[in-house]
Amino acid sequence: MTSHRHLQNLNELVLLASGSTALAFLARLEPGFYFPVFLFRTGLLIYSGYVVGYLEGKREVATLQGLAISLGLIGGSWDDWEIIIRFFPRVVMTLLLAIIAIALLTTAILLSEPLAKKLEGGKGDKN
Amino acid sequence: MIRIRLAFYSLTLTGISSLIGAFANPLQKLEVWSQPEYGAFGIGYNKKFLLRQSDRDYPLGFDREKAVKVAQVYLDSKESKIALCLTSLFSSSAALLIGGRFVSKCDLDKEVGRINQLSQEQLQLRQAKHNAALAAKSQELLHRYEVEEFLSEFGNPAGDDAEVEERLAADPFTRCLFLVQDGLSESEAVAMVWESTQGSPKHAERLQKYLQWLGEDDERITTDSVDFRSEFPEAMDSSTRKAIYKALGDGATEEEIVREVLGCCASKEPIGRAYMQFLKAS
Repeated sequence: MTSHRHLQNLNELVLLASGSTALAFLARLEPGFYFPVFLFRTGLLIYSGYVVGYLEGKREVATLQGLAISLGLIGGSWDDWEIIIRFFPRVVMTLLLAIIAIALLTTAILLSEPLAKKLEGGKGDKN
Repeated sequence: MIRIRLAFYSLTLTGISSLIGAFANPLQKLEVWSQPEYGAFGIGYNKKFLLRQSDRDYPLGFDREKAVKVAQVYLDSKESKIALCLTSLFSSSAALLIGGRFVSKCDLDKEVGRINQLSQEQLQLRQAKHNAALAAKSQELLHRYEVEEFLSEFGNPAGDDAEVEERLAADPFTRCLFLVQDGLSESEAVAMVWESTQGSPKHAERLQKYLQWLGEDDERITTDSVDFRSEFPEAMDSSTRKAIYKALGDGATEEEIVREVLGCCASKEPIGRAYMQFLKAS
């Protein structure tokens, strides 16, 4: 019977992802909405990352939100990405390199000694 | 119920498939134009421009005269994409609403099952404890009979066995245990032995004491580690010992001494008992 719980979570994910996709469509059809949608999406993504990483509880909801935003971001403009990959490979390369660089930088900062000590100290105080 | 479940499954499936369907096919008409350019060192290259239907103007540097169209997407499926997205939105929210009901029901069923299992385990534990107590008592009796037989065979100079038997029958807790063994329930047995009506506070107290007595082995282990020094400082030892000897001389039982001489009733009883054990040992 726990499968119903998973299906329910899946429904929630689909609901949020379809909302995100609708926002992406809106931003593409009406260029005036591009910037607000971009800001909203980026802010929500960063906030859900913060919740998943640092806050107790509500972690499942935040994970679902983050997944849904990413799905909407990629799926909502997938046809556009097809054209861009085909005719503007330089853009795609630049984007991929930027993503890899950000990931490496974040990992390095998180694994660096002072920050790790600070995080552990904070956790120790809580306990 | 089965209809609701089927509706839930089909709505979930519709939501997922229409969301994936909404990702496919182009949203709007677009053209890709290529324009030959020359850099500062006379090197030629092709600059590409993406012209979308929704763009307000030509992009910066685009020259309609020089540029050549290299690709186009004219068959857009704007309506179907938006319709699929909305379908996914509505069907998944409907499935969420329907599913909320029987997901909570499933959670409730699980909780009820868990409580049932817990109570069954407790019952089994209780039965096992009772059986162990009965076995211990019966073994004690068996030992007494053996001693009796031995004494009858080899003679008994002091006649202790009669006294032991009498004391055993006089002990209300043992009598209660015998009654339970005969098939009465615990509360009935307690009511019969102490002649108190069922449901009265005195009866409840006796029943609790009887249950405590059943598990007295566990209790004895804990009494050894009770800290009685907070209640009875060392200066009191000698005077208390005298008082206890006097009470023993008057014929008081151990329980009465704990309750009346040491003044430990109900919750403080283990402390008093531990202190008395300590005085006996020293």
